[in-house]
Formats: sequence, structure tokens, C-alpha cells
Amino acid sequence: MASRRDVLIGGGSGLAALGLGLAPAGIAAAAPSAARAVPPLFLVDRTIAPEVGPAAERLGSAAISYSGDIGMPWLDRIEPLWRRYPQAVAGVTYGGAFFCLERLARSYGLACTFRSCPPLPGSGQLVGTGAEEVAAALLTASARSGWPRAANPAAGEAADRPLAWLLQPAGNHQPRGN
Amino acid sequence: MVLPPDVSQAEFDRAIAAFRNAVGPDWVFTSDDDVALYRDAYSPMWSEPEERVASAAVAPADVGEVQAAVRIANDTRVPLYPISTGRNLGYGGSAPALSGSVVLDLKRLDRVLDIDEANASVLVEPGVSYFDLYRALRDTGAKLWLDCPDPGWGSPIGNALDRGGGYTRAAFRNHFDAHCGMEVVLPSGGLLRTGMGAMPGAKTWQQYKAGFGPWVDGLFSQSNFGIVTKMGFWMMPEPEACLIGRIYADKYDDLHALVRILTRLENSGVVNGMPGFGSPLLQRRVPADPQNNDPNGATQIDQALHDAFYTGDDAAKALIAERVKSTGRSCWSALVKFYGPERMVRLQWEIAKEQFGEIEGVRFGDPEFYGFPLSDADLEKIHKPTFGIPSLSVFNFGIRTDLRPEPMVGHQAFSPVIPRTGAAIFEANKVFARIFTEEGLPVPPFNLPGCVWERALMLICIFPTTHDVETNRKYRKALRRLIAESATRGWGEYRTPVAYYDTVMSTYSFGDHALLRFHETVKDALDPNGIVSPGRYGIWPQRNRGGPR
Repeated sequence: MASRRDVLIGGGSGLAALGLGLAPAGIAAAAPSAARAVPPLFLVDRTIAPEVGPAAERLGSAAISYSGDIGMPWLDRIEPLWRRYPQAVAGVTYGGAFFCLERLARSYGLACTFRSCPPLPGSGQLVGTGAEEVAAALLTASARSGWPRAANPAAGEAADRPLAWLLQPAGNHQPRGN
Repeated sequence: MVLPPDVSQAEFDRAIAAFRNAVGPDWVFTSDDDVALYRDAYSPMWSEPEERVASAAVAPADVGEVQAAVRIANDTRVPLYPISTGRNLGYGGSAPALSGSVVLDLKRLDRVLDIDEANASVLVEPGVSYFDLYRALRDTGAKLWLDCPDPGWGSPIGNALDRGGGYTRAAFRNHFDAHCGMEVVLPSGGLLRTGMGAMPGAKTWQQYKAGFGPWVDGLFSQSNFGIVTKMGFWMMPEPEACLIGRIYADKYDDLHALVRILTRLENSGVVNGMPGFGSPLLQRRVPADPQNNDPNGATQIDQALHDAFYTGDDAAKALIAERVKSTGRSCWSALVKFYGPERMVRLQWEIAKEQFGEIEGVRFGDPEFYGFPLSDADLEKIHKPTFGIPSLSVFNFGIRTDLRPEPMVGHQAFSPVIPRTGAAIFEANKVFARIFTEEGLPVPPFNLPGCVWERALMLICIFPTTHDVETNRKYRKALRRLIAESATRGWGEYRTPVAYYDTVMSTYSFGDHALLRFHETVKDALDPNGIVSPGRYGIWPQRNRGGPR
């Protein structure tokens, strides 16, 4: 019988071996060829590019729209998802939110596999897994919406730059904790 | 992999095998990739030989496995470094004080053991985070608030043992003071319960702190005398209302009266939430201002004004007065918070206004009033820990901005405790500005202190940490000098990153370091093999004193 550590260490392949998909069944039915590529959750800071959320949902991710503080999305959506088993999550967020999620992800057997800082498109090196293509499509959608929305440098306001990123099941981990 | 300094590879291997036997092979981490996850992301010694790194990690599931790990450590003399959730970023993260220590990762001890709404208390294990506790309180419907620091991913036990602070009423925002009873695995492997918990079948472990005889709980904070595996905390009953008032004063010298009156109001219990000071003129927000939750607050600096706040002579005061007039911004602001029934908090605000009325020309903002539960709109904008809600928004601090094109890798804090007077605020700022200048570093904006603790103030100067060795060395040198020169004026650090444990401990030197010798006496008695957190908070066991560290 596989232990929890096997699941964490094995990441995506470990899950496949256990018969657990990376995507919800509904998504798999809608797009069987891409079922394992679509991150079940896509985080969008709506002050950056609100259009990304609907675009992610069209591609089969459940979009979480939030503003500024990743705390409640973490508590109510992401942690319960990862507590079941490690599943890919993508996002277009500010750097602070990504920093937290990347560190929290380690305790659940996930790691960052793609990260790009705008201007987009074309600044990141996208390599060809399905999930990354999904992220790329969403990044393109984000780029079309114009960056950054929250900044007004001429007025001297803080202008945090958005990041696009992907967290996926990985090999090493710490014990779970948040 | 770095071995502990006086442990052979054979002994280390024997310890790892025994750990695997005790906790199961899945929960002993020895690969470089796994161990690297315990590295301090904010280390000011990144990639230098002095950087503190672990050799392995062990994650017990319960108290019995913690005791087993401690006994193995005694048998093999392999030092352990217990962490709760290991989120202590800025103060060492999950990296040990002594390189080669095995991290004892307590995240799997993650149970909320009791929530007693009537007593307004909880009992938790060290792997429980503020988010976990918040969720547990919410799920049970208990009308209790938790007091949390800015990052909600930490552990109430870990933060209390490091003597961290929060944002609500004074009785709760001093996290160690808010605890009531603990369970400790001693370095011998024995189990101790403090306070009423020392009585088998005690009915009041989370109700009465002291128990009978010497109250020893303080020995387990900022120390390495044991491994805390349970801790009770008093929670804040959800108030009917919260009122936040703002006070504005225009003259540079008004800071003296502002601090004096606010302190009197707090000491007398009229102001019962965490107060704070700001400077609208400098665009320095009050910490934890619910209306401004942007931790960066980055603005272009008016250099002449910036300098005038440090100088404080007649010419500087004239410049400040001119800027107050031309901008319409006050020189100082204070923010006061009241928790309680609506009628009471409105009356408290009226009393506070009367007392601040001693300051000539003082003005008051319209009070903000909050009832509970908060609306979604309020939840979007407020500083959540002020309302007992964990958050991660503080990590928006230090990010890439137009004024900071290269984001900070991390930070370290210089945080001296100073007297609660305006004079101390001015003096400390002048001393620190001089040191920054002499060390070739940019002088930060005039620093306004936090009021986390009753009776005293605490300045927090944030230094960046980078991945550049020379830059980090420069900041470390400046920080050590700040610690030393503060000590000559009687200001001491309340807490410090691992790199400065010994430096800070050496400043608490009354009676030819009598306090440190007392610590060492206790350490030697409780932990003769020196296996629990060697070097933590500057307390070294006999085997490492003057020897390998």
C-alpha cells in the first residue's frame, strides 16, 4: 500500500499510479486529451487583470479571484485542495502572494515549474508540457489585458509587478503545515 | 551534508538509523533536496561558510516519538533543532543555530486539542498554525478571536516561545503572556507539564497560570531548555464593536505630548487596542492602520524634510512647519483602537479626545466603527490581524516596485526596545541615522515605533538580505554596530536573527554576564549532553562553549 510520502514524493506520476487524476472528472470529460494538463485552480489577483479568471475557467480551471491578500484563498480553497493530494495550481499574482504559495507548496509536495515576470508575452521559456501550455495561453490572455493595472508610476505610487507562475507536484517536500 | 562539529559520520549514521526506527523511514529526511527545504531563505549569511544549515530532519507524529528522538540524540550526541511550523522568516526560518543539527520538525503535531469558548481558551500542539486555529474556531462557531502576527502561517506556540507579538488587546498581543500552561519534553526525554497541568487530572490547566511553586514557563521561551509539545492560550472574546480614532498634531515637538498622553490612556485601560504613531507629513503610516494595508507605502522622499526630522533643530522645525502649512498634512498622527460594547467604545473615544485636547491645535479624524461579522467590503481593505484574522499580505512588503526595481530577497530586523517617550524616539533615530551614514548605508525614513508591548516602545529597522556576500557582510557589520551602540544607551534587542544571537546576548552583561552564566548553569543541569538547540538565543551547552560551533 502506498504511503502518504509515496504520494508526495511520486508527485504526478505517483498519483497516476494510484489512479488519482490531477484534474477534476468534469474537466477530464470536457477535454480528455488535456485533462492532466489543466491546473484545477487558477489564482488571479483581480487588480492585475480580471480577464484572466474567465479565460482560465474556459480552459477548465476553477478561477479564484482575490485582491491583495492570499490568506483567505489559501485557507478556504488551496489548502483543502492540497490536503487531499498535491495538484497543480497556476496563477497571475503579485510577487508577495507567489512567495508565500511557493513556500507553502513545499509542504504539500509541489514546486514551482514555471515563473515569468511581464512584459509578456515571450519573456518566459515555455517548455512543452500540457500544463505549461495552459499557463502560456492564460499568460497570453493576461498580456492582452495590459499590465500592470494597479500601478501609476507617474504618480509615484508603488507599482508591484505581476508574476505568472505554475506550481506542480514535485519530488521533495517537508511535512505538511501551513 | 554538514555534520555536527563533534559527531563522527558513524555516530551520525547510527542516529539516522535509530530515528528511522523510531518515527518510520518516511519521516526522516536526509537527501540534499529535502534538507535544503529547511534552509533559511532570508539568511544574512547566504552561501557563506557561516550560514547555518541542517544535516537532516526528523518529523515525529506525537509526543512519544518526540521523546524517542530526544533519547536517540542523547545516545548519539547528535544535536536536535526543534521547529514548530518553521516560518520564522527574518529571525532564522527553520535553520538551526548550530550547523549540522538535525531539525526536529513538529509540523505533524497539528491538533487543536481543546477550544473552550466559555473560558475563552484553547490548547494546541506546535504544528498548528494561526490559519489552522482560525479555521478550527470558525468551524466550531466559537466567538473567539486569535491574536496573530502579520504572517498567519506561523505557529501560535512557535511565535509565543520566540516572544512574538500581535495586534489586538494588550493581554493577547503579547503572545507569551497570553499562554496558560505548557507541556514540555525535557532534554532527558522526560515529560513535564507546567502550571496546573502538573496536577494529574487538573481541571484548570488553561484557567490558572501559576500552579504551585516557582513558575518555570519563562525558562522555555527564547531558550533551549526543552521542547514544548502543548500550550494553552487565552483567546479574546469577540467584541461587540471596534472603534478606531485618529489624532493629528502639527508641531514637531508635539510628539512628546502625543506619546505621554497615549501611554497614560493605555496604562489606565481607556485605550485597549494596539495604538501607534505615524507621520502624515512624511507619509509614514501608522503600523496596522486598517485603512492602509499596503506594507510598502513607498513614496518619493522629500530629502530636505527627511533630513529635518533627524536634525530637529530650530531651522529643521521651521522647515517642517512650512511643509505642514504648504501640504496640509500633519506632522504626527496617532491611532487608537477600542474593543468592547458599542456604547463603551464610543465613550472611550470621547475620553481620549478630551485628554489629547491638552495638545494645542490637536485635531481628530472621524472615527471608524466596525461591528461583527465584518462585511466583505471591509474584509477586502482592512488590516486583518487587527480583527483576529490571519493574513499573508505582509509578504507584499519588499516586492518589486518602481522605487525598488530589484525586489528584496528577504529581510532581517533590528528591533530594540526603547523607553516610551518622545525623547527616546528622537534620540534613537538620531543615533541610528548616524550609524547608517558612517557605515555607508542609506538612512531610512524617520522610524516611528510600534506599541506592541505595554509600557515600552519598539523600533523596527528592516535590513534587506540578499544573495550577494559582500552586501550581506556590510549589513551584518552595521547591524552588529547598531546592537552594540544601542546597548551603551540601555536599549536592548527583544529578539534577533540567528546570526546575532551571541552578539545580543553579550549586551545583557550586568554583573559580568551573570544572566548568561545562569542560563548556562540551567542548560548544563537540564541538558548535559547539549542536544537541544545548541546556541539558540546565545545559550551554548558545555560541549560547544569555546569549542566547535
